[in-house]
Amino acid sequence: MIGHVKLCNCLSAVLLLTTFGCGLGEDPVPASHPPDPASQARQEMASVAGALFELPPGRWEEMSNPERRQHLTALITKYERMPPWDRTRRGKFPTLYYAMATLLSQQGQGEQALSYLERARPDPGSEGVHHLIRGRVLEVIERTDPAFDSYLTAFSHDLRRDIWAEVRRLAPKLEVSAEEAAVRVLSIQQKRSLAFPGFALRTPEGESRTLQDYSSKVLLVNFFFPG
Amino acid sequence: MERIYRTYHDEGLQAVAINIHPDKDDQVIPWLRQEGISIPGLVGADPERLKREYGVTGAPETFILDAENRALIKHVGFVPGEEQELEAQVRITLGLLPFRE
Repeated sequence: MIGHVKLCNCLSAVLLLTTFGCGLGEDPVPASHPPDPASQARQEMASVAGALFELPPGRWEEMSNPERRQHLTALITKYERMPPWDRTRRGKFPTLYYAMATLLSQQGQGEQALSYLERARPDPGSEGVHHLIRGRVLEVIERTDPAFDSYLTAFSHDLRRDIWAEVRRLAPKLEVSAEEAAVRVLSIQQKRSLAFPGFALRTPEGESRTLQDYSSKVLLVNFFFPG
Repeated sequence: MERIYRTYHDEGLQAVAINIHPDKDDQVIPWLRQEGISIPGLVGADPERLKREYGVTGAPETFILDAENRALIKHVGFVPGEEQELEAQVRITLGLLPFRE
């Protein structure tokens, strides 16, 4: 899913460059025309996004490559010089916000990192990654309680062992048991859940069945077809 | 999914498999037997209603509901390793830790 989101972002970047970088049937921009800083910045963003997408899944936020860090630092500077109307286009690149937030938190600039992260709007399906990175940034600036809440929220979206490990690591510091943490995760999920519509179907043998016939602590509903 | 069903059935997990292709309703029993699936199958679904009310347009798609019939998660398609997430979801909904420790 994350890979798909990244691909979409990359495609958006290409689309933006295509849209703003050249016009159909138009003459090339004369050499004397001043370069468009916004267009250059967008190109830069697309380039950095492309580098990020080459990282293995689940590791793109680590940003361990010094060259990539340097690239991002230049990008941040360029971003801050962009006019506001161009900055709003950054909403199309949540991956870059995460990368910037990670980079800045690693450099000890937690508050600034958080400000970048708060402006990122996660795409559907990437909420888990969003809250995982948010938790890490909050930890850097020593805001342990909200960091823990972010890990719980991240786990409520992506029930991955590595995210649960973050929950378990922080829980003792806040005197929260693992069992209580699991209950909190379920509570977060229940708050955002929707009522499952009822059904009236039949067994292959012809007996009527409704949703109420399967009342239980947990019901797994699988939609399938034979073959 | 069959493994999860068998593992947690005695602890309160129910499961149901709804065929989304009504023209294949008569193949459900032999197919479930052939695959060794003990999860009960249901037939007679209206594809338009599945799309409108559940957002189901293909298979497999899986929902996990709690005791109040709240849909906690929806998995679309299947990716290897995803069953671990499904199991973790079943476990916390049953009041267990998400992973065996």
